[in-house]
Amino acid sequence: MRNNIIHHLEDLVYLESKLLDEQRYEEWLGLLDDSFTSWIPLTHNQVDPLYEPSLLYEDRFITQLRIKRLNNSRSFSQQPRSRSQHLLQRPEIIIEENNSAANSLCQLIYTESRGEQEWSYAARLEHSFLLIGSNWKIVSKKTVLLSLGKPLDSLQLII
Amino acid sequence: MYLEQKGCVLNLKYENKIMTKPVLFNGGEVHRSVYLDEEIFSEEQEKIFSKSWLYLCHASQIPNSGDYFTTEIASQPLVAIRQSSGEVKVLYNRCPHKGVKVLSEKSGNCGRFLRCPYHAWTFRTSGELLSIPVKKEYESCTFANCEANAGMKLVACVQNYRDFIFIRLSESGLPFDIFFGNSLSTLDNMVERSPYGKLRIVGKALRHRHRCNWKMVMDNQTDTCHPMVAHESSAGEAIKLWSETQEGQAKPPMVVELFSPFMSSHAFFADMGIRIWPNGHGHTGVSNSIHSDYSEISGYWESMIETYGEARTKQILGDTRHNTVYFPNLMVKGPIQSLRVIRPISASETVVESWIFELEGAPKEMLERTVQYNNLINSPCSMVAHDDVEMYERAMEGLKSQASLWVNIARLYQPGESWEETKETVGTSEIAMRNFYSMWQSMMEEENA
Ligand SMILES: [Fe+2]
Repeated sequence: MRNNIIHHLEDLVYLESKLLDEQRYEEWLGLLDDSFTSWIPLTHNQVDPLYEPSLLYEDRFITQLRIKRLNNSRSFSQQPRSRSQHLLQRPEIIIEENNSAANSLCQLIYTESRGEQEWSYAARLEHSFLLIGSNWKIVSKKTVLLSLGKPLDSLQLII
Repeated sequence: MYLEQKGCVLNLKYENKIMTKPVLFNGGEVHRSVYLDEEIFSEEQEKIFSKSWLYLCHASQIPNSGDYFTTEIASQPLVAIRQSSGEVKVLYNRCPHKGVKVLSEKSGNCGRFLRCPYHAWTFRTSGELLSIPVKKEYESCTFANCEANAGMKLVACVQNYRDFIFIRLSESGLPFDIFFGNSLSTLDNMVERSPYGKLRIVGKALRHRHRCNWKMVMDNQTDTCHPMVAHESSAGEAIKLWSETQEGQAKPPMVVELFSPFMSSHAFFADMGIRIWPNGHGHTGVSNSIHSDYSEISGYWESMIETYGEARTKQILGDTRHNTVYFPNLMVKGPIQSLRVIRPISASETVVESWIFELEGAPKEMLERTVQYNNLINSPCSMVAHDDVEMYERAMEGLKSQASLWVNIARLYQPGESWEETKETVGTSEIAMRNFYSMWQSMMEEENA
């Protein structure tokens, strides 16, 4: 039972990255719970996303807006479009006692490219999942970039 | 002036050719080399950045004796240190011995003295040389004549204005009060928005690198004709998404409240008004602004009235200035409690640093809005900033073109424009950019003594 869950959630993390890289955003939204939040902290040990600045802290509504914006015909910074590639290490899944909640920790190299430019980011990716009915959903995602000490160029797609 | 004589901007180019030094700003146009040329960039560093008053940090970042904050301004490594007297001094962050940077953390507390990690020379927090191990090995008469004897050098001029620490690297230049004049009213307003009259910096700065000239970012701060165009994809979609999904909710999500004013019409921005002050400073949003209609946060009004009374509170909160640009590279948003430092790296590279403040004594929800605004607008992940940056970077590309040597900033130009007085005009005017370049040009034309 627990092994099945672990395999399922590992696959879910891989699937998420694939959908993001292929920019199949509608399908990706299907993996997210309504209470979804995504967070890219500004410092390594940041605990508070609400009252301190972050590189990104958004709920499902803002994420949806981000996707709409990427697909808008007047999204000028996406002319030409960016591409991304997630390179993941096998996620480490921890399931809670009741088998209906879980967390995952995963090492990531994320690369984004646009036109003649390419940027790479090393990061630690943390997910939390909830079993909603018979489906596991992503309820939160936290991406801690390794290099927070330097000014960053525009990071446009969903990491 | 030139414009008036010729009655037409375009004729100016020919006139420029006969002058010994080329005119880089002709009243309505800026020469492209101002954005592209590395030599002009170095000249700016020397003539503008060393002689202007520059924002360094906020006193709340170094509240206690020995607290320090390091930064780099005009390629000078500097450190601001709180003295035991409470005063803030600014030192060049360089050991007088071998030139080693003495403090390498962004911030911290150095205790009662500074110690160079290379040979253990120590200095008072005021920079004065305290001790050198085995000092007798230095011939005392010789050493007395060495520059190193003076310790860590102090920055010539420091001004703490209501906790905003400004410096001027050069000993000569306009005094602080003259340099900024009435433009300080924007800082005043931001401070007064705190029921305690006190601000506190929150967290670290968001730092976003742009591959463009720093002045393009400055120009954009008072460019009221771009939001509804460049930000249609984010602000327009926000309005659309909200109308599709509201499902009877009374209040739009904060992101919609923050983004939708970007789609305001030209007429709205024109009515907002624009004000300029002498020496290149100015602000958009005189009578109204895109920050005017944010929903009320419960308890805030009451806490303000308690301090200031109703009439004064109305005045303070009714002044919803949009962007205030301080020449040469600072932008302040009072109603949002944020500021941006536009850091020139080279002619073609700029880092925009965005800081936010908490209004002491105000409900926590005020800070939550400030945080969200900053994340959504100023982050390298900001879907709004992405389009701004795209415009700057495309301009860097486009300006390589031989089609024209000029960038146009002549919208609502008025014959005989002068810059000695405070002035208000239509909000869609590019007058604040012209005011900026007039100051820029006069500083660049000054011959070094
Ligand atoms: Fe903009």
